[in-house]
Amino acid sequence: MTRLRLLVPLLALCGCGGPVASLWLRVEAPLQVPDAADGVWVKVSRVSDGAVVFEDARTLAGKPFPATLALTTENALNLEPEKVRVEVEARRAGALAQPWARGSAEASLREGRVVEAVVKLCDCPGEG
Amino acid sequence: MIAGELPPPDPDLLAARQAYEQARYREVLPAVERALSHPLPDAERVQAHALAAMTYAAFDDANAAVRSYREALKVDPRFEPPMSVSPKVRALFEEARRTMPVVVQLPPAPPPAPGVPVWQRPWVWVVGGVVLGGAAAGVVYATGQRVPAGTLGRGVMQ
Repeated sequence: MTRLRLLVPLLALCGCGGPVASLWLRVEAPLQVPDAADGVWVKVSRVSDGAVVFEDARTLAGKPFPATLALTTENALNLEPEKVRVEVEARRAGALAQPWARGSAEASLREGRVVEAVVKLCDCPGEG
Repeated sequence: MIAGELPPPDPDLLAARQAYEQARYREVLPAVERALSHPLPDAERVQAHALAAMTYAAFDDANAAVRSYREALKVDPRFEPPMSVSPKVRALFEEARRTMPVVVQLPPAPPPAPGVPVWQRPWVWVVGGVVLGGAAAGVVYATGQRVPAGTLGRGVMQ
C-alpha cells in the first residue's frame, strides 16, 4: 500500500496518466485591439455527444489578431475518431464585438500530435 | 636483582649486570651493546635496556636514560623497574613512560546490518520510483510535441 501511494503521485508527476494531444487554435479577425475587440471566448465540445470539454473567455491583453491558444487533453474520449468542435467569439467588454465575430471549426485530435484549428472571423459571405 | 628474578643467561648481558653491580659503570654500556647486537628473548632485551638506562642515569645523562627506558617499554609495555631503584632513576622511568607514544585502540567496526534484501529497503523504492518517473517523463517529453503557449495562453480540455 505504501508503494502504491508512492507510485501514483510519481505517475501523475511524470505525466504518465494517459494519452496527450494538443490543439493549437488560431483565431483570425479584422478587428482592432482593443478598440473593436478586447477578448476572445472559446468553447470546445465533442461532436458526438456535445460534451463541453473547454470553455473560457480570454483577454487579448492588447495583442492584435491573430490570437492563438494552446489546448491539451489527456482524455482519450477527445481523441480521434472523435471530433471536437471549436466555437470562438471575439468580444468587446464581454459582448460579441460584431454580429459576424463568431465562428467555429472542427478538428480531430491525435495522440502525441499537435492539431491546428483555424477560425476566421470575417464579415465575408460564405465564411465564418 | 635489577630487572627480573631470573639471572640472564646471555653472557654479555650477564657481564653488563655484574659490571653494574660492582659499580664498574664504564663497562656496562659496551656489554649492553654487545648483548643487544644479537637476538635476545624479550625479557633479556628489557633487562639490557634497563641496565643501560640505570647506567646513563649514573652518568647523569638523563636523555639517554629516558631513551633506554622507552626502548624497554617498547619491548614490554608492562615493564616496571625494581622498587630498589633510586628516586632519580624512578623519575626518569616515569618520564619515559609518560612520553611514550600513545597507541590508540580503535573500536572494532560495527557488524554489518542484518541481511535485509535490497528490495525490502524503503529507499530503494523511493530512488527507483524517482528514476523511473524521471525516465518516463523524459521519454514523454522527448517523443511528444511540445506546444508553446499562445497569445491567449494555455488551456486544458477535460
